[in-house]
Amino acid sequence: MSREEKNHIVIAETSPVLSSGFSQCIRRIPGLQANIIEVKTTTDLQECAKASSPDIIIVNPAFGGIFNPVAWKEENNAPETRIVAIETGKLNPQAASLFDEVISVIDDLDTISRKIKSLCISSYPNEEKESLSNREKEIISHVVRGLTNQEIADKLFLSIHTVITHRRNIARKLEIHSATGLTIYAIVNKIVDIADIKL
Amino acid sequence: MLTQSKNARYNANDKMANIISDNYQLIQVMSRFGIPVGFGDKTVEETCRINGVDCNTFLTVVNFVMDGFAIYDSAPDVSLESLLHYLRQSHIYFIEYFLPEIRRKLIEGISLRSDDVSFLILKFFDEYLREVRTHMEYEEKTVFKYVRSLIDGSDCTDYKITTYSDHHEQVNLKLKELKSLIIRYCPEPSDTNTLNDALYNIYRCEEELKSHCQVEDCLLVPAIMQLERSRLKDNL
Repeated sequence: MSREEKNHIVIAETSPVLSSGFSQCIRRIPGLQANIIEVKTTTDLQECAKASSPDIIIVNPAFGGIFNPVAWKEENNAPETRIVAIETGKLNPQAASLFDEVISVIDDLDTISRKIKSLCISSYPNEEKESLSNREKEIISHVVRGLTNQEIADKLFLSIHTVITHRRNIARKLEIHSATGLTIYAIVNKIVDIADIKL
Repeated sequence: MLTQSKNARYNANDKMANIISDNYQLIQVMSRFGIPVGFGDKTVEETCRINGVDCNTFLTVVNFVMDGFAIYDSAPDVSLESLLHYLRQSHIYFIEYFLPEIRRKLIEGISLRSDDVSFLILKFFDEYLREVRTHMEYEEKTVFKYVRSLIDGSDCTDYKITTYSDHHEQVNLKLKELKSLIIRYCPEPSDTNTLNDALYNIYRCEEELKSHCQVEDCLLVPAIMQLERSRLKDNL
């Protein structure tokens, strides 16, 4: 959740047609925020990996001779990085199994989109907006009056952890992370009266 | 290393006037490099020379902003000096011009009253402004200063550029929240056109900041890493 939306994607492919083709396709995936970098040599891939620790590497299995994703992750201490093979001909199944995913050059955009999305770390923010529970509204009213988490916990006979969990859920549901933003929400939705708030 | 490749969208022999009239977003890039309009038929190379701008760096930024992605190449070609100058000018633009301009329009548009949420929206904006300023000051005091010491070859601190990163996301998140607060909860404006204008500028600001941060992440950071490596070699 900390790394909101932006995915670092590196395309390691010597053919400019394939490389820019993948760049374009990824940019056409709806809702995907990505930083895309194209690399042409193994040295550049190495440098790039150090600079931005990519979430996804899309690589030609013949990149730099033979590209071994398992060894690469180990050498670069990047077990989290998802490595996708570009399939131009028919990829040997044993080699394919080493990769986290295989994208063929004949895949359509829906397929590519589905495959890339399933590899993205960030969650998609499209999920339905949930409404607030009464307890959550109660907590908001105390937050905007300036009470600390501990004071709220004492007042409502809750543990401080519960209060923190509630606050996290409130921030997620409303997409509001600041006290000022929460105050605006609370006033507009009549959870508190503007006169109750010390300004 | 990131460089201006021969196959890039624009190159040194293109007419400056054509590039800018094709893409008005590049007006920003141009002005931050300190290049004024009125190019006549001059090429990019000529215009840069006249204005004392490093042509490769200018083209690298132009192509990067247009394409939205960078191509790695092996021969180092970007002038860190110019890139730093560009980024600093960009900071000045946001802090001293663009954000205060948005603030002025917000005040004019939202009919500030103490008995509704309008002033809370302004308060939120001021918090955001403070955050952006702090972040940019941090970059200038820490990151840019470090780069300067690398360029001058003076004593390097323990700081390494890899420690610099995900700050950007947070600042961006705050701007998103601002937009959403105005769109959802702004009370009836005193001047709809001005408020809409402010909102429109907030969107533009978001895009420009995003592009600015991408230049830092995708051009500046790799260029610095390259320099760090070559310094390391010198010291061995």
